[in-house]
This record gives sequence, C-alpha cells and structure tokens, in this order.
Amino acid sequence: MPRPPALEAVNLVKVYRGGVVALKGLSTRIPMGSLFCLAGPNGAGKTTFIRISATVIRPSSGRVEVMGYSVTEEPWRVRRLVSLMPQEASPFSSTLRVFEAVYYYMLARGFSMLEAREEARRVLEELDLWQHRSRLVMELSGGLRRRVLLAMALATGAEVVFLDEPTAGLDPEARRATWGYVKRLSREGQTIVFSTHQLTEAENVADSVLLIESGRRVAEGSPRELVAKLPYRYKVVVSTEKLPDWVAESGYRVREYGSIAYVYARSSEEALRIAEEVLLEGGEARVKPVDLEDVFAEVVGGA
Amino acid sequence: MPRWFRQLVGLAAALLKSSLRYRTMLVQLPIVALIPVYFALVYRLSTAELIQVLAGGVVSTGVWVATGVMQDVAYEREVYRFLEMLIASPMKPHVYLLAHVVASYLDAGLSTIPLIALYAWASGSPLSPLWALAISALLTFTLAPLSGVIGLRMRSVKEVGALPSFISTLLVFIPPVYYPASRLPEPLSYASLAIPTVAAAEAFRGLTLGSSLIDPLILLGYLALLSAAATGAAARLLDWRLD
Repeated sequence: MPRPPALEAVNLVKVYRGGVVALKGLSTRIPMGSLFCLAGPNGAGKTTFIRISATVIRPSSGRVEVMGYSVTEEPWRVRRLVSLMPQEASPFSSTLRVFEAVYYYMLARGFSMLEAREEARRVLEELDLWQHRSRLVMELSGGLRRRVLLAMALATGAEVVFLDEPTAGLDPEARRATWGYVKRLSREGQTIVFSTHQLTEAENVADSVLLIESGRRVAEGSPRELVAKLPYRYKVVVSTEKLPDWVAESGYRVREYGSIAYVYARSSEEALRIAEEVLLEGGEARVKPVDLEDVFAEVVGGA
Repeated sequence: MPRWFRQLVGLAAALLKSSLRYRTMLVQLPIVALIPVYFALVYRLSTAELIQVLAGGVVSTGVWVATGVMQDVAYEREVYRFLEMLIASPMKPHVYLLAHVVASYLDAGLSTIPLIALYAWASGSPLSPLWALAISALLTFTLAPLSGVIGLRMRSVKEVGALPSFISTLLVFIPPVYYPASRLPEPLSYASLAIPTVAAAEAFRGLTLGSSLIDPLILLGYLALLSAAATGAAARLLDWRLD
C-alpha cells in the first residue's frame, strides 16, 4: 500500500463569520519529508490553510488529510502527528523562563520529564538559544520570543510541523541558524510546512512552493521548476526615471516597482544588450536572473 | 504515569509557576475575600457575626478561581494565542481545563491561607481548614468547568470583560454567602440553598459552627451532584477549535 502524503488538501474553502472568504477551493499535495512553503502576500490565506491543517479551525468545505487522517473527522489522530508555531503568539506565559517554556510544553504534549528535559536542551542548543535558557520570556526581544516558539514546535519531533512565518522579525544570523536546523530536520524525515511572504526566502529554502493569492493557488512546484516556466531568464534592473522610451516601444516586458523597473529578457545576450543601451544613455543597469518574485508577478498579472 | 496525567501536571505546573512569579497575585485573593470583613469591623459586628462573614470569605475562593479560569482561557485564546499550540497537540480539552482549575485552585489556596487561619482561630474549629479546602474545591469544580467553556467560546477578551464581576456579584455578594441563609425570610432562605455558593457556605457553617439550615452532608451531596452535572455539561459543550 503506498504511503499517504504528509498532507493532502482538496477544494479547501474557508468562509469566516462575516463573510470573509479566506480560501477559495485550494488543493495541494505535500509529500512526506518535504520542506514545503506556502508563499503569497499578506491576506492570501496562508495562515488559514495552516490553521485548518493543524486542526485549529474547521474548513467550510473541502477536505484536508494529514498522513491519511482527516482533520475534520479524525482530529485526534492528526493532533498526535502535528505541531504548530502560530504567527503571533507568546510562549506560554511571559513569566516563564525560556527553558521552562519548552520543557513544560513538552510535558503538556505528554512527554516524560526526562524526554522533555533532554529534548528541550537539544533544541535550545541547536537554535542557539541555550545561553538564554534562564531568561524570562518577558525579557526577550520579539525575535527571540519567536525563536522560543519555534523551539517549542520543533522540540516535539512531530511528523508534520507547521510554522507560520517562522522567521518574521529575525535577524540574518538567526534566520541562517533557523533554516539550517529546519533543513536538517527535513532531511531526517520530518515534513515542515512553513509560510512566508518573502519569496526570496521561499526560493532559497523550500523543496516545493505553493504560491497563493486571494485564497487561490496560482502556481506550485519546486522553485527551479517555477522559475523555468517563465518565458524570461533574466531581468535588467533600471531606475524608472532613467528608463528609456524605446524599452517599452520594443515590446519588452517591463514591471515597475516604485523607483525601479525590471525589464525582462529571454537570454543573457538580450539582457546584456538592454543593459548596455541603458548605460550608454546615462542610466544605471544591473542584470539579475529571474526569481520567484517574477513568477508571482507573472501569474497574478500584477505590476 | 498515564499520558493525560503527565499533561495535566505539566500544564498545571507551568501555569502555577508562572502565576506565582507575579507576587501581587498572592495578596489579591485575600484582599478581595476580606473586603466584607473590613466592613464587618467598621460596623463593629460581634465576634459571632464576624465569623459568619469570614465563612463567606473562605468559601468564595471557589468563585474567584472559577471566574479566573474564564479570564485565563480567554487570554490564552486571544491575547497570548498560545492555545493554538495546545489545540494542535495531543492534549485533550478537558485535561487543559482541569490543569487550569488545579493551578488556579492551588494558587488561590496559597493566597487564602491567612483567611483560613483567621477563621480557624476565631471559630475555634481546628478542622475548619480542611473543610475550607474541601468545600472550596467542590465549589471550584462545580463552577470552573462551565466558566472555562465560556472563556473558550467567547470571541474576545472584551466579550468576557465584565462577566466575571457580574457572576461573582450574583453568586457571592447578593445571596447569603457572607451572611447566614437564616437571615432571609423562610421560603427564600431554603430556596437560596439551590445556589451553589450558598450551599457551600451553609455546609461550611454547619460543619465548623454547627449552624446550618439543613444537614451539611446533604448540601455537600448536592454540591457533588451539581459538580458532576456541570462537568458533564462542560464536556458536551467543549469545542476544541477556534472557529
């Protein structure tokens, strides 16, 4: 019998009280052991998807199964398999110490005292938080608090871990430590589902990315596959003020983002030619390969 | 040790430890419970009357614990948002509520010690501390499960808002809790025993002072039944989701 996927969602719809439609028939399949990213702008439905999958809220229609168990019909089976790091939460109470927060959370999940102590120590060391173990949660910065929440969710060793914007507010060093550890857990077989609105992060970290916009799937695949589907390979970054008229007139795809514009090219030769022309006319130009940001812009048709 | 017990101990220990670090919590309850005693002293009531008021203060601890659970749950749900992590875990909702009740009860028990000691000294009843703990536990288990369910079901902390004060006033300050039920006109005095706080206060008075409208053991049996019914109702109403 084939092993069920870590998660399968089919035609998932969520309409909140008051009529706000957060998910509009979202479907996806997440293989076991993958590092899966839900990416999209704020309000796209990422958190709703995670909360439904982690059994925190019910879907309005459609179904979600975690390792073959329905989140609506068999929530207790699902809850044994998952852990969740919510987007905005405080680890237990602010008057607990960092070690205590992880340790007591492990006990609350049913671990023995010995296991809880060992796992709490291990994960705090891995996430470079051991030196903060005796500090009260209330004394920590926002970024450190999020790392404690992350430690709590990861210490459980759950088969499927949901991380809602895990690196929001973290400094670059903490991000590196976090992703390094999360990638290792994924290689060891844990399935990690995380959300982010930073597409660069999604591209650098995830095995697979689901791009969501307004509750709908707009694209899905590995970052490389998604980028490969674009008709362009490079973009020339120019200042909008110095953007020559001939660029648009020549039929090049141009997207403007405030003071800069991207001019898309199908090959490196084409990109260099555009850059050269811009430079000759006194402007500034940089050539970059296209990335997930461009995929997102292309599929949602935004400028 | 069964898993549910480890979960209960783990969560209750976390809540208790966290609460005890707020040192002001330790003085909050005795102050609230002693306010009527303060007025009794101002109006120069007799020692016998003062004991009646103290009995009310001791028993009312259960109500503060129960309404505190409502607030704690609502805060965990909406402000700390930590509840989501517990829902997405093997912890059952009744273990979650029980942990809150146990932690609050121990916390309240610690802070009510001065009041209980004062009562034992004034009433000359050496067993009264044990009765105080037992009866307030029974009252806590009668009120706290439903209070927790209300906390879970309320959509926001603001919605919970004044509810604890309203419930406390209805259950503690208006009915005969700080004064004996016999002070009410006769049909009303017996009817008031249906209110759990009044049953608890009368049972406490009966067991420690020998003065209650009816046999205190009947009142304790009534409270035990009420507690079982309330726990059953709470279990049916519990919805371990945040929709």
